This record gives sequence, structure tokens and C-alpha cells, in this order.
Amino acid sequence: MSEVSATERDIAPPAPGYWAMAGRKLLRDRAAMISLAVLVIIALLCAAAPWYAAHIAHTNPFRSNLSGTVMRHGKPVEVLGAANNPLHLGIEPIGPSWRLGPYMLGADQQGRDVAARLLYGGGNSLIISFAAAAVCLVLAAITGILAGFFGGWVDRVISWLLDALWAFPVFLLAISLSVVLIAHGIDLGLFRLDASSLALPITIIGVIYVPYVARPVRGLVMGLRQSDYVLAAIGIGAPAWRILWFDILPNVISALVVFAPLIIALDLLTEAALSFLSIGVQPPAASWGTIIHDGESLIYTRPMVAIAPGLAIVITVLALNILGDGLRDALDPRAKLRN
Amino acid sequence: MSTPLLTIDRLSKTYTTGSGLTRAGKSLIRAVDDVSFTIADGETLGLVGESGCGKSTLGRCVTRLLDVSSGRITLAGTDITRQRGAALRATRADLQMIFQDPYASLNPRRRVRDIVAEPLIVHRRGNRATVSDSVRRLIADVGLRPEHLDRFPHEFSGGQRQRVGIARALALAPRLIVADEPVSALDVSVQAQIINLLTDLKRDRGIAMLFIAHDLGVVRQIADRVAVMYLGHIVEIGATEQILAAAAHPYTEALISAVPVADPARAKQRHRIVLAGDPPSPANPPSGCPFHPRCRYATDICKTAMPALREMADGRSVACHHPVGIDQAA
Repeated sequence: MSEVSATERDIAPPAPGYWAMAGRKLLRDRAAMISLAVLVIIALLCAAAPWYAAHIAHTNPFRSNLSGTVMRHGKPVEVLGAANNPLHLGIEPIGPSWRLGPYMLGADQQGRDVAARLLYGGGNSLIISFAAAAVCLVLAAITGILAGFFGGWVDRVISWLLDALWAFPVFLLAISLSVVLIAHGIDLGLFRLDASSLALPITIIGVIYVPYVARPVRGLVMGLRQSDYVLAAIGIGAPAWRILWFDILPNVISALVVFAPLIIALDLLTEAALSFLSIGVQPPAASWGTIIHDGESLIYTRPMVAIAPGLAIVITVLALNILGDGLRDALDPRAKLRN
Repeated sequence: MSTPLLTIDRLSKTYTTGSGLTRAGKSLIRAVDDVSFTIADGETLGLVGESGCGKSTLGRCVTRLLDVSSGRITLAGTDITRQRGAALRATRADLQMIFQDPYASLNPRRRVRDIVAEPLIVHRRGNRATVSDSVRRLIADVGLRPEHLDRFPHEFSGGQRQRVGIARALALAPRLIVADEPVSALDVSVQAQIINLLTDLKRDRGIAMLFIAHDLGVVRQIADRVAVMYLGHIVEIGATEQILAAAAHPYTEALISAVPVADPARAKQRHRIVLAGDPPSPANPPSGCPFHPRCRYATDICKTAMPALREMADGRSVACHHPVGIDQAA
């Protein structure tokens, strides 16, 4: 047997696994970690919505409060007061108090606490965008892997379906599906979605972005299919499932991890757009999009009703995008060379 | 001679290229064209030729990583040309491959332990404990140490990675290994180590080998016989010493003259044959003998008639109308 000379790398301890390495790199990425912290804080605040409504705002954010009063500077003030114009025509909801308590961000046109609705709505927005992204990534992974790995007619059928979906502009498709389905929900025997359930926007938003992820996954898998180590696995006689599991899936998953925050951000924006058009989350439930819709008619007098959810969307999407960049840098082995 | 381990009978591999929807827009590439040879048990056949001559394609056809277009591959008496499913998987245990690029042929996400154990697990050779023992033994046999088992491929040098690739190919105790330029991606100093390792392994285990290379110097050290390939055809095949001592095909002659000579005195007096031009495209091969546009002995017959591979008096076979240094009457 020939000798292998002892070098320093022989003495070094074994390197950590791929995911451990990526995790370490991500932990060192300050922008990504701040974004992650921002997202966690937003999620926790939204999760605390019922507690906030009960113990700080002391209101039910789903019931209108047309004739109530609230204490401001020691005096009782009407939640829906007369408008502040010369003729006192119309009504004007109470403005923000800017301190923790009832109507911190003011009231909407039905006298509901905007701050409490913002937290409840954020919960729905986040649930929909995360769940829709999960639906999208799972469907894209399945279709992309099947098309890329098996090729032939499997690839042709899947690619044809994806192209058909891709041919529609995203919002046109989302709006058409929502308008049609929002009235009755989906009823396919075993698979039923109620019109008022969050599952309906989740399904619609999840499906429309599938081609945008499935295409790159298919390309990635087609490339891996030709790689020497997959050929080596075939040469060993490994069955297809082992090759998919050990050689293909780990690469696909790291690609999906990079895609995930970007798709969540896209889904959040799409959900807001649909809800703004009243074809997403249905009242009395709220989402950031429906609150912006509520604030549209108050934009000149009480702009905070629309600005608050708008800001929430901007901050969340920005944090998701920065986190996505960080994940890409941490998971992409070539990123090291680029620096 | 008893039945050979591997018999390749008139094997061809053609590709269609081009994008046209109609047949007219496509062109046919004959990557491997009507190739026949045999490998005996425990024998090493070196397959040499320049880049693009079809030698890697031939290697991948033999290991059934590519489907052949026509011809027959027989391994130990069994026709494996069209095998599928379980039969093919069983055949693969006898027929392993070592790849050219040790950086690309090992999954970067898996540890050496798992890479070398994979063939044993796939073919259900033993339980967890015996697989672990076998992996340790294999790793030692290829000159690596037990502490290397938990490393990832990127932690190794090219030579060490190739040792991992060899351990994986040996795991199932195959009867034939196709080594596709196993050392051409390595440093010259490491090349010799890997060649020595392969020589030891095939001698100790009696494994037959199809050793693909583009360099006769490498083949000289390991091969019992040599086949020279040009543009999808085998142009000369015979015993290594015989061919290296005196080439009969003009192309082989040029290849041999390109092998560097270590002795400066001898290097000065030898004459190098420099081939003019590039190898022709296999999509548009020359008429007659594929080598005639670059051949210094070519005559009119070479432009029209394709020479057949004929056995010479000394046992080698040559596909040439004017074999060098051989009496035509023989």
C-alpha cells in the first residue's frame, strides 16, 4: 500500500456538517440576525393580540362602537365624534393617543381600536403568507423534482401544467380565482374549503407562485441528474428513492430555504393586495390588507389607520428580504468566493 | 483461451443533435462506432485516445450508465446490453466505475463513511456492524486512515478523494472496474501513487480493468494490453510492450512519440511526430479512414475505403491500409 503523508489537515478535527456550517455563517451575519429578531418580535406581538385587546385596549376589536366614549386627558371623548369642519358634517373617528391604552392608534370608521385590529390582522397576514409559502414550496419541490429527475413524459406533462399557470399574470389569476371562489368556497367532495376560512386565500396564493419556484428546482435537479456523483450512485445500483433522498433532496432543500423568505414576502404582499380589494380575508376578520382598505376613506383625516398596517407590511417584507439574502450567503458555497 | 470476462461486440453509440423539429435539422454523431474487444479475467486493457474520441462514452456504455445504440455487451457469459431493473442492479455489483473528477464524483453533503458504505447498504451486504467493519477495511486498503471516515470530501486533497472513489468501487468486490481517466485530474506526483495503488489492488484481488487514459505513459504502467481509439473507432489493439515498442498504426506512432522521455540523451535523438490540425468532428467524419487528413502515409485508397481492423502476424490488430513497419504480405 502506498503511504499518505501526514499533513496538518489530517490532525484537524472533522468539519461540522453542512447545515451546522450554514448556521454558523448565518449567526455571524448581523443584518440577517436583526431581521430575524424583528420578524420574531412582530410574530410575538401578533400572537399577543387577544391579550392586548383584553388588558390594554379594553375593547372588542371585532364589534363596532358607534356611540361609545373614552377618557382622553381626563375628559370623556366620543369615539366617533362630529367631523372637524365648519358645518360639522359627517363623523370623524378618534385619533391616536400615542400611549399604551385604549385607541392608541385611534379608531376606524366603525369605532374599532386600530391598534388591536393591527395585531389581529397581522396574525392573519402572517399565518396566510407562511402557510401559502409552505403550500407553494412543497408543491414546487414535488413537481420540480419529479419533472427534473424522471424527465420524459413526466417532465412534459408537469412543464405543460406549470407553463399554463405561468401564462397568467399573477394578480389577474389571484383576483379571478378569489372572485370566483370567495362566494361559495371550494367543494371537491373530500377537499372542502369554506369561503370564510383562511385556507381559501392560503390555497390560492400558494398555488399561483408554484411555477416561479418549480422551474428553478426542475433546472437544479436536471443538472444534478447529470452530475458525476449521481451517476456514481446509479453505477452502484442505488434505487431511485435513495438517489432522490441522499443526492437530490439535500440540494433542493437548501435552494428552498433560500426561496422561503422571498416567497413569504411575496405572499404577504399578494394577501394584502387581495384583502385590500375585499377578496382576501373576509370581515369581520382582519388582515393588514383589510385595515388599509378600512383606512382608505379616512386617509385625509385619520391617515394612521392606513399607514400603520402599511408600515407593518413594509417592515416585515424588508426583514424577510434581508433574511433571504443572509440565508443565500450562508447556504451558497460559492458565496465564499465572491467576498 | 477460455471465455473472456467482458466481450464487446460491434458496439455503437450515436447521438442526435440539433434543435430542428424535423429530421432534416438534426445531425447524427457517432461517438462510438462499431467497436469490438474483449477483456479476460484479471486483465487490464488500457484504452487511449485524445479528448473527444469517444473513450469515456465507451466506458459509460460498458458500465450501462449510457444505453448503447447497437451492438452487444457480454459480462461473464451474460448479455447485459438491455438489462433493466433488478437484473441490472445485480450486474452493477460486478461492474464498478472510477470517475475522472474526484471533486465531482463524491456527494459533497455526505461523509466518507456513508459514501463508502452506500454500495454495501444498497446491495444488502451485511448488517450495520459488518458494514462498518468493511468500510474501515476498505478505507485502510486504499491508504486512508480511520479518522478520515467522518470527513467530508471537501476536506481532502484530489488524490485522497480519488482513494475514496476507489474504496467505493471496491466495496462490492466487482469483477471488472472501468476507470475513466482516474489520474488525469491529479498532480503528477499523486498520479504515480494512485497508479501504484490500482496496480496493487488489481493484482491482489484479480480484478479486471478497463483503464481509460489520454496518455500512453500512464497506460504503460498498468495495462496488459492497449487499445487505441480515434474518432469512435479502435485503430490498433495489442499487447502493451508490443505496441509501445513499435506502433503499427500511424496514429499510435504519433501518440508514442508524444510520451515524454526522461533521459535527456535519448530525448534529443528521438524525433517527435507532430500531428497537423485538430481531430475532425464526429458529426462530420472524413470519408474513408477517419485518420487520413492528418496521416503522413495517406494514399488515395485511404480517402475512399475505411480500413477494417485486421489481425497481424504478431498478434496485434490494426485498422490501417499502410501499417507502419509491418510487411503487407504478413
